[in-house]
Amino acid sequence: MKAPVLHEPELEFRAGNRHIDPRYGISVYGPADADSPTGPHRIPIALVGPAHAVDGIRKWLQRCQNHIEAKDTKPGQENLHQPFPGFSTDSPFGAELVFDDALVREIPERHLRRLARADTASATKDAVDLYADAARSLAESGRCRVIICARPEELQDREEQPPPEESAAERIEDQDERDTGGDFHDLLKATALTLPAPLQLMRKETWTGTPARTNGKTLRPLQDEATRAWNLHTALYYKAGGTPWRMQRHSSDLATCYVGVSFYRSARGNELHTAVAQVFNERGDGVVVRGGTAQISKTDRQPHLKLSDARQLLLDALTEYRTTHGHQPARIVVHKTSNFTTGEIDGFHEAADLRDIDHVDLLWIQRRGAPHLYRTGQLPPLRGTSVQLDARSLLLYTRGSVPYFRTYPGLYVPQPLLIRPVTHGTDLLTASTDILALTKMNWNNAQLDERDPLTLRTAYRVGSILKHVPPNARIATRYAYYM
Amino acid sequence: MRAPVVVGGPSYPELTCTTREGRRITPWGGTTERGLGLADPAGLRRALRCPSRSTDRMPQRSVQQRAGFRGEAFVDKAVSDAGHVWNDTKRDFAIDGQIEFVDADREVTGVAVLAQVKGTEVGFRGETAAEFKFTCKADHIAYWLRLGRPVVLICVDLRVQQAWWKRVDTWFADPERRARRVVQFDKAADRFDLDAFSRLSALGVPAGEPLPRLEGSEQLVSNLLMIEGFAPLIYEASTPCRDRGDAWERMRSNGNQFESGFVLAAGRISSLCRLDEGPLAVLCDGPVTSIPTQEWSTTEDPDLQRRFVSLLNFTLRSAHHPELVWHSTKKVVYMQAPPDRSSRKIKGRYRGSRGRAFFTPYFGKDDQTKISFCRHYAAGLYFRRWGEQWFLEINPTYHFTIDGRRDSLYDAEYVQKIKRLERNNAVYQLVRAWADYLQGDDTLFRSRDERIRFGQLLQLDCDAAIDESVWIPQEPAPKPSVNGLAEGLWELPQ
Repeated sequence: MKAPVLHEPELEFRAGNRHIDPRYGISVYGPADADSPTGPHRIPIALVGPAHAVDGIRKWLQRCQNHIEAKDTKPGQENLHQPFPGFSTDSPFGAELVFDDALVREIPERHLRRLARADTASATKDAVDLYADAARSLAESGRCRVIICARPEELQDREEQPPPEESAAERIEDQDERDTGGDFHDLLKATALTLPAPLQLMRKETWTGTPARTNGKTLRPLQDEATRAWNLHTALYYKAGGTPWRMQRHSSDLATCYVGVSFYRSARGNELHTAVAQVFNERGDGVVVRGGTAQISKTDRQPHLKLSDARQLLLDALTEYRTTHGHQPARIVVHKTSNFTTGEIDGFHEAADLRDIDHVDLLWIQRRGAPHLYRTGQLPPLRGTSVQLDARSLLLYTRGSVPYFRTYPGLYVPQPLLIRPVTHGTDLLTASTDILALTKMNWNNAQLDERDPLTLRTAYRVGSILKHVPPNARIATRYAYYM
Repeated sequence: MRAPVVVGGPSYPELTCTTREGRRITPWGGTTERGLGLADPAGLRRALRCPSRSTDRMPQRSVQQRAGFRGEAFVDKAVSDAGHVWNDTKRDFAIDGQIEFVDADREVTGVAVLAQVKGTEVGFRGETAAEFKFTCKADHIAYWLRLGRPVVLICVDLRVQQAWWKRVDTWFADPERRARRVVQFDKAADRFDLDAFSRLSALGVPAGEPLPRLEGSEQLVSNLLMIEGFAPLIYEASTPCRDRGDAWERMRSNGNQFESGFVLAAGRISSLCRLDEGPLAVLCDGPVTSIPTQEWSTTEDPDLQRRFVSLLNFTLRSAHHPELVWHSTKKVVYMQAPPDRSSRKIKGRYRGSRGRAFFTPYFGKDDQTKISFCRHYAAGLYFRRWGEQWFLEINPTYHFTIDGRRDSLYDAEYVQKIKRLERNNAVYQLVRAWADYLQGDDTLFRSRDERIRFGQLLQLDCDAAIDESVWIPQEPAPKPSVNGLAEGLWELPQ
């Protein structure tokens, strides 16, 4: 049996320049939309939080206007950590953060001290109300592009509980992979979905550089300063309306609409599962569409959509795509973390037929349950290693040893994805190349080797926020509001 | 004094020689249309007559020059054989050429290193079986250091047709070495052969550029243990048992003879064991029939496939009872502690295997007789069918108990910690250990259970290879920072 290794997909930066590493690409070429008149060049920032936190954030962001040295690396692995080039109009970003004293809302310390005494649920609610009111008044002034909120330290936040079937180690790995949100984050984002500017939450350790500790134990691993600056400023640039990088597409490629379908359990009704689709094109511009109620299947215990709901979900997604991009896609790729039922397959195909779209790829992507491969040596297999297990199953390593870094930059032995196309005509090579490229499209994190493609990654975030929003409430369609 | 002869070129059609006085000679007795035709052999013989006895002496090629040319030819061939490009320098000032690398897609990468080649036909200075030295000229060293590009010195021993290399721009960056001008070669580590090219190519890659993917392949091993075959027949009969608890009760009342390798569905019992005899006979209340196992193993019906997998799971646990215990919460099997709670070591099948401790008790620091906690090897075992082939997927993990039986309260914490420490090789060795164990062996007392016959772990050919000597910086290994209770717990294979 053969295990071909896919090439690392390149990303597109300013003036069509290409590179595999987002950080290097921006450092050398600049963001993809740097020359565009609509690209954000001056980003007015609003700040919310206690006085000392607002001061701390401001000082650190001002420090980030200049070059920040990369973390020391072992010889030969210089690409692993990149220096941050600074965020100013003279830097490769070509954009600067603009601070204005009028755009600061200080949360009084005495209000926050009250949170520490309350029970977790009511403290979270109170904190969300305090922050949401402040953010609303700032956003409605119409003068800021992004609102940065300093997360209250007094709040004993509950982290999101993962599904029970995951083992402890996997759970930790997942928590490492995704930036843990918790109730405050999700509730505040859910409350702020209708504001004119998206929010960016920051923990104290981000601007102080001191890891958070409880009883002498470090709560979370803290990245080096340059990496923190990279991650935050890339996210701010995107939230301000910019495109840091985009997927490389050949002119002969079909315009593709990538749809990630996921389900979440609503906060009140335990049995309600609602489907949500995230729609992306190759530029990564994401819109969020909410679908109908899903049912748990008796055979595989997974949530599934009825035929009519599946059809409507994809029709809505295509409408949003058209509104955003001004044209219909020529190809639809649907990524879903559970198997496709006949009803779902027929529903998606009916929607595609209604819009005269011929190319439809339905892919079931399993995050667990794929066989593992091992090298004889210390390093795991290369990222991009793929194995076709049978006619309809492909194993793909989206995390693994990276030649560019000359190492495996992860903590745990990597787990591959298992990709199972529903339709017979799906080209597995194209599907896996797309997935590998979509793993690089996360602007919350300037990392070239994320495990999950954007379509699946956003599922967790969007679902955990939307579950706090009433079913008929208006929601933001831009993905920037959920990340 | 004899006049030296200036040779116009080695292989031109009009090859003429001129004496110092300007007298033109045609050693071939004149050129022909075919260039090197020997129109006048006698003329050639005259021209090549031994110069010492001739009045017109020809230039001499020194032994060193000959060795130099042969050395370059050796490097040229070695580079070409490896699929890369050797470009020699026409005007050579201490750089004989450059090696440009060609990637697996036969694209010339633009990644190159400069090379100076030295050949010898008599051996290098200070040569032993393990090392030798080479002294460089001071002006050459200064030149290499100012180039700002990676430069390698390749020393070729023409007697044994072997070469060694060293990067000299970084070697001589050390002022002390620069003053001594000596490059020290290690004959084992610095060998210039096929394996050296990935390291050489890595030298030429500037920061921000990925490594070129050179031609190469390596074997990967999966955690899929191939199943060579099943027992030929599945026995079926009607049964009054409603569930497994009921079946267990019946077997208990029939003299405590148990067998767990069966499934119950729709009032029928199915097993890879015979149902008309043995412990399972008591569960049947009708005639026993049999069907070929192939009918179930090749079915496309998802319900029947689920039932077959269920039967395989119970059969596997039955085959390894009582050593393997099923943990219903964690959904894994783990190695049972021996009655005396001693360490349980299982030998591997491959050569040089020292065996692995599938069960290890750990004792308290203060009281060496009291067990503090026990580590059991555990695994999630899943039967999978890919294409027409059945596999057992092995996902090794651990289980911790306080006394060999009762779960440790810190189980999740310990497992998490050990998994954080484990790297590719450690998990690979565990998979192999489980595969060895499950394949089983015939012993003097017990023959191997043949209901499910396991083969080898599935191996795959990967079309790209990692050269760990390039990727992993060769630094002294850091000392493990594990302490306290966990000391000795995280013993990982080398």
